[in-house]
Amino acid sequence: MRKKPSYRDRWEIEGLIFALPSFLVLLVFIIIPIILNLRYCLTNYDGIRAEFDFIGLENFISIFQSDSFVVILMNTFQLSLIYVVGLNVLAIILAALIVRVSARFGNFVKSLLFFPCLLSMVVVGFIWRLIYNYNSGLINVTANKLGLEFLIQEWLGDKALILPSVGVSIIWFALGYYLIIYYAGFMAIPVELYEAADVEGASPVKQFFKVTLPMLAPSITINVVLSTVAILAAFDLPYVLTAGGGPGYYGSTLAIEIYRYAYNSIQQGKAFALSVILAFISIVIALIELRLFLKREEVN
Amino acid sequence: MKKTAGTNKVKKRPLPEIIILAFASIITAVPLYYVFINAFKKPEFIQLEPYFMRPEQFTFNNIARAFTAMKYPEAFFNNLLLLVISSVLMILIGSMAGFAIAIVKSKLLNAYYIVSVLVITVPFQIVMVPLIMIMKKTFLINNYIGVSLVYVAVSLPMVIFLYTGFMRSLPRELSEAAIVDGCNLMKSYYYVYMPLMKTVTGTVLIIKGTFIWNDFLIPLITISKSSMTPLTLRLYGFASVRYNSWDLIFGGTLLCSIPVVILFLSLQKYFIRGVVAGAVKG
Amino acid sequence: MQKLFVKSLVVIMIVCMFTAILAGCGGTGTKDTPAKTTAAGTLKGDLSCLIWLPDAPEIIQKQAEEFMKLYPDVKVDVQMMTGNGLVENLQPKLASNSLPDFFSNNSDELGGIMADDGKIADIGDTKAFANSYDSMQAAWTSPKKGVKYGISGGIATTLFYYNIDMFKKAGITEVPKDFDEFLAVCEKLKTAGFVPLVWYGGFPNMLSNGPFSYGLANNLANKDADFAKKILDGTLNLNTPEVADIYARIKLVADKDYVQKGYMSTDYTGGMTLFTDGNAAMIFQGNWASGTFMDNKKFETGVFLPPWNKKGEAIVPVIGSETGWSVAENKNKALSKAFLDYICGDGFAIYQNQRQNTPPFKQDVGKVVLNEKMKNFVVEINKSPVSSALAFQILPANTLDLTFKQMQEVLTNTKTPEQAAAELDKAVKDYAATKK
Repeated sequence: MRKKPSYRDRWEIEGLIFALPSFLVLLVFIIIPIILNLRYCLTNYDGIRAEFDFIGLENFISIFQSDSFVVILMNTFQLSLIYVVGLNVLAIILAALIVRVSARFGNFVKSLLFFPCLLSMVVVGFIWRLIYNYNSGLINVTANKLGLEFLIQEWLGDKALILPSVGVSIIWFALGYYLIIYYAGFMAIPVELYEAADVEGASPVKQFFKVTLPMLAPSITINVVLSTVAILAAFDLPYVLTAGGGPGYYGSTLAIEIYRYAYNSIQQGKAFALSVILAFISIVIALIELRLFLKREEVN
Repeated sequence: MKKTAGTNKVKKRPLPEIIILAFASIITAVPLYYVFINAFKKPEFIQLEPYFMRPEQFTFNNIARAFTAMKYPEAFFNNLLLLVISSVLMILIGSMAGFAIAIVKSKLLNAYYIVSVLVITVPFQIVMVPLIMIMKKTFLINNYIGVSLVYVAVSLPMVIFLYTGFMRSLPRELSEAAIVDGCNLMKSYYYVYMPLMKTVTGTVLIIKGTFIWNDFLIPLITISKSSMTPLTLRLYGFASVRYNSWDLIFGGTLLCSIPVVILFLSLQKYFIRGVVAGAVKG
Repeated sequence: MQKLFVKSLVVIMIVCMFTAILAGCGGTGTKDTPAKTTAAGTLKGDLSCLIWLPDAPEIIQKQAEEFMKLYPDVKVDVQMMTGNGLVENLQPKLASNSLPDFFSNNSDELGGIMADDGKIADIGDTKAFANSYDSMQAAWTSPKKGVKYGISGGIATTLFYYNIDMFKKAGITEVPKDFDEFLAVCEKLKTAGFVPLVWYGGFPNMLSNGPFSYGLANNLANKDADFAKKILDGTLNLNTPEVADIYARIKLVADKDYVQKGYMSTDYTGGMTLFTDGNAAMIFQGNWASGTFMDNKKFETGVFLPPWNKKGEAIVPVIGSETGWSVAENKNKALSKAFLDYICGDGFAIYQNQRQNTPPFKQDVGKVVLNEKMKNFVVEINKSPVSSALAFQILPANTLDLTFKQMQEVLTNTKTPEQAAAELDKAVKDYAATKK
């Protein structure tokens, strides 16, 4: 059998050259820092003096032993859950609704909901800080005027409320973007499937679960993974909103703690170690999600 | 063109849907309205009357003060510079890489693709501190090129992913035809694929452009010369001021957001199309 | 239409690219031109400043402007520090070896480390240093090598500002002289329907400067004169009831409901406004903010020494140094020192008159605006034989940050004061061990 014309092989060298600039950039700015990070997390480098000693896994041990670590880990997972589930469910529902209204109104809603994405996360943090303010914030003042006493809360001061408050503001920020992606997904579903379902006499709810969701599977996969990765690393908004982690460690996440170790208290070694932990968690969860959702896609 | 769900699903009188959507719109709009209105309200009244504004409370002063305090033209130029350099580099480098990965069959390139996609899941924190060390050693710190390269680096995995996806979705015959005509890879890229890249490039520009324009963390740790700081850093500076500078904060927010908002309003269709295209290619 | 749009976009991009490359080149090698002082005393050069003055950035701007008027060949570039403190601004600069020429600094452990490590220039030969009080000079000398590393921005202390009218209405005739009397005063105010005290639950920095520092002063400093040194050496046992009491008192006031609603999210500004609007009777704040409190038009403000002492014992006041200024050890230090002497000389009035803080200088430099009550207050506390510095000057930097979180945890019942004391003890000892 004649070998296939090696068009590909012939151009391999050139292809590699094409990819070279990107490889160099990634190498210098991503790969090497990661390697350095892995190296420094095993030392007691404090960011100021040039000398440091190799201390093995001590940084990790002291992190795991600290009282706050469990709280921070739980916070990170809690916030991620609130965000990923809240965001995607809301986006899917809203997209489903937009599909059913007139094009003009639908476009208006889409554009309006996309507006928050255009703002800087820092700005969003400050705005919501004002809104959540106990004495003069929009929520409490309105609740007061309307006589809804139960709505007057310490949104940013109460242990139980701070993470949901952060979650709400981040969802507000990102919803428009994901909404548009799901909307596109909806529009791409061929009508014949729905017609077939109608013929079989399926109710709208059943249709949603048997037709819509499976067809949306690829979008769901991508969005869930992307939103997970984003919230695990999210720093700007939570940091500004919780003013550095909230009361005690109740509003603090891994991302915030890494910044605090690195820049607020001279413990760079711990910052390095914690960032390794975060990276590990992020990669593992992303891979698990991909596995889970891609299998779903296959099944459907 | 397949008949898709959209064409058939529009109800005659979707009242519950409209109500829910209107409710969602209002909730989204309230904070925006809050910012907008307070940007024009005299500072003394901002805390007192959050919702409404009487005519005598109107002022352009907030915006004017913010404009001078943050040296807006200088900051705007910084943002623009960073945005342009980063975007151009990102698009050039990323598209070339995506092209090579999609077209050229090579185990090495495939491995590179997988590693690159994996990097998307890596949080920035793990790169943050050592990056500064490296940049200091290579004199890239406090330097527009250096900071732009950082943006390029953190965006590349996603950009490569998008371009690869796009290139792969183009018909094979395109590249085969180019080869028959005697093009080498470079010519093939330049003459055949580049003109087709407009949509994806648009997507990349929109998603990453907004990110770069509004980003805060990277300039915070890489730029220390005050004349080089972008808008977000200056805004954060206001907001860190202890004693009540709401006028600066709101005025500044408006000023910072205006460029992106104007761009969005004028290119709405393309914006949305770009985001969609990005997702579909994924 | 789209083609034209894209084309013009490309043109713009190319133009910007060129400008970028030009600008990018200008971005790096900047302050390599050292300051030249000619025989006639004119200065030349570029000076980069990073300043911590969140409540009044216009002060340093004005000082820079005036300095540039005096020396037209000098360009001063001022950048303000952001966030919650100096450490997070200085750390990245230290890590990347890009300390600005002139910057705000604290006389604390980090300052000492920077000085001993040769990052800060010795400014012992400046007029400003010679004019500083002995206690300030001592505070700004590095422990290991004796480098004189900065000038204090003012004598700092924390104290109680109180609303005289409210006190009268509540039937309080005397200011409290010990902690039990203090609690009684709070009770009276509460009964009279006032919010007795503003408590900074959401801004632990102020809790640290206030009740925590006074706790250190009245529970530790009066027992052992060397306690600060022992803390840094790791030889002082902090897992004691006295230290736990420091945390406990912070919590006690809140538990007895003597503080404002929503105090866990009160930030710096919020707290001040609460008092100046006449919504709380007392506030535990710094003398550096006296201008805001004393110049109040709504009511008469008085001051008293925080009675964090036991009955029968004298109150140990907290006397520390405000954030001051340091000069980086680099080629530009001559110019930086000149700016330093200006700021602490002719330019000091710009700083002092607006803030109305207490100058750290033996001889008055220019007009000093200071409320009579404040002036008398500082004179009084300086008479005390024993005093202690502010918490941030005593604790190592990483444990200081820990105490912020701990205070919030104690306030929200997540930790007991005893647990906090034990944790602090361990953290300080661990840190001292890494220094050996």
